[in-house]
Amino acid sequence: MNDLADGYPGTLVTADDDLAREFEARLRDSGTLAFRVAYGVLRHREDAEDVAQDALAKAYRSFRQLRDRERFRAWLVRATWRMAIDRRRGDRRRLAREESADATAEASVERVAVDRERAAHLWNAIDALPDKLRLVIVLSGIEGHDTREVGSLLGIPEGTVRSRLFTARKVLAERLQWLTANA
Amino acid sequence: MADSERVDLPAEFDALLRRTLAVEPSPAFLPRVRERVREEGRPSRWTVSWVLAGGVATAVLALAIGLTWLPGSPVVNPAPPGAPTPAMAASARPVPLPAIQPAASPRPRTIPARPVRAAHVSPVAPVVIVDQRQRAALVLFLRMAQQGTLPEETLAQTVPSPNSPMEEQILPIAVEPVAVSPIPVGGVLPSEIER
Repeated sequence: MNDLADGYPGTLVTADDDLAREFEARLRDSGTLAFRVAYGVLRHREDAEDVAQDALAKAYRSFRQLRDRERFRAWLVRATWRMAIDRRRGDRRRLAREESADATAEASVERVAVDRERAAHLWNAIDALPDKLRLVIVLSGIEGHDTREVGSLLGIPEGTVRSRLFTARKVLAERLQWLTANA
Repeated sequence: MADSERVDLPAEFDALLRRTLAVEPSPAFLPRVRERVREEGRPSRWTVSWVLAGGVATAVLALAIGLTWLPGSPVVNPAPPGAPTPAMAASARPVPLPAIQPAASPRPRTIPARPVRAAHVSPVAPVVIVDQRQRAALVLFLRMAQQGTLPEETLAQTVPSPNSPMEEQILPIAVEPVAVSPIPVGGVLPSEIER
């Protein structure tokens, strides 16, 4: 089909080479971002992958209108967030959530347990934030996203991102104060 | 997170948040997305396709309506030759009906002026088969009623007066008398005793 597809077995093969090539690039560029956004809401790997996959498939269906990279990423983040929130609302009874993403292999059992407990408290506090603040704190927690990037993804000014981030962190600090005092 | 946004949130929570969100999807994630996308086909041109589909549907609908109307649709022919006219109806005489034409006799194939469609007939109205004479009479009746030239005598001949009492003939209902025989002592019929 094209050089890109020949280079990567399993890449898209469609009649519309340009479109497929562009979408493949977006997929590589933003697939993980979509997954992490979903994971920030669901904190369950399989669920997050399902939601991100749905969001990417939906993005593909509208890809003719989303060919611009920035537009695609912004749309994808918002769609994934909404879909993850919906999924979580419809799945509140799920009890088994992944507690922590990466407990390092060398960490002691005790350290892992403490980390998990702290992560649980942190995420409970994040989950209790209003949607606007929560999205900002999750996006800025994803590596490589500064306030400018978050503003671009959410379509809001950088100053608004800073303000929301400040408020969110303040609320979190208040809610987690007892935890740090006991540490 | 930039330092300017830092408030009193301990650094360990920042690190925890970052660590949690640094999770990578499984290696099967992207191939699964590709597979899904491949199954769904090309990005939709739904705007165009829906417009096309709408156009086709409209054309089919218009064609269907046209076909329904053209061959067998109820049309109001111009008044047939010899049919009574409003001028005739103005006279007090009873209105003669047009002569009956045998149904089997083939009509001479003449192409008259294009028949006038009944504008008031809805395309979805059911087709009602009406005799030619009945139709002519009905058209005439409606015309006369509209013009107020309907002779009362003619009406009186065809429609019973609403003031006249209704004569209903009630036939007597014949009821066979029912023969009731007394129950024998012990509740046993003679025929049962014989058994």
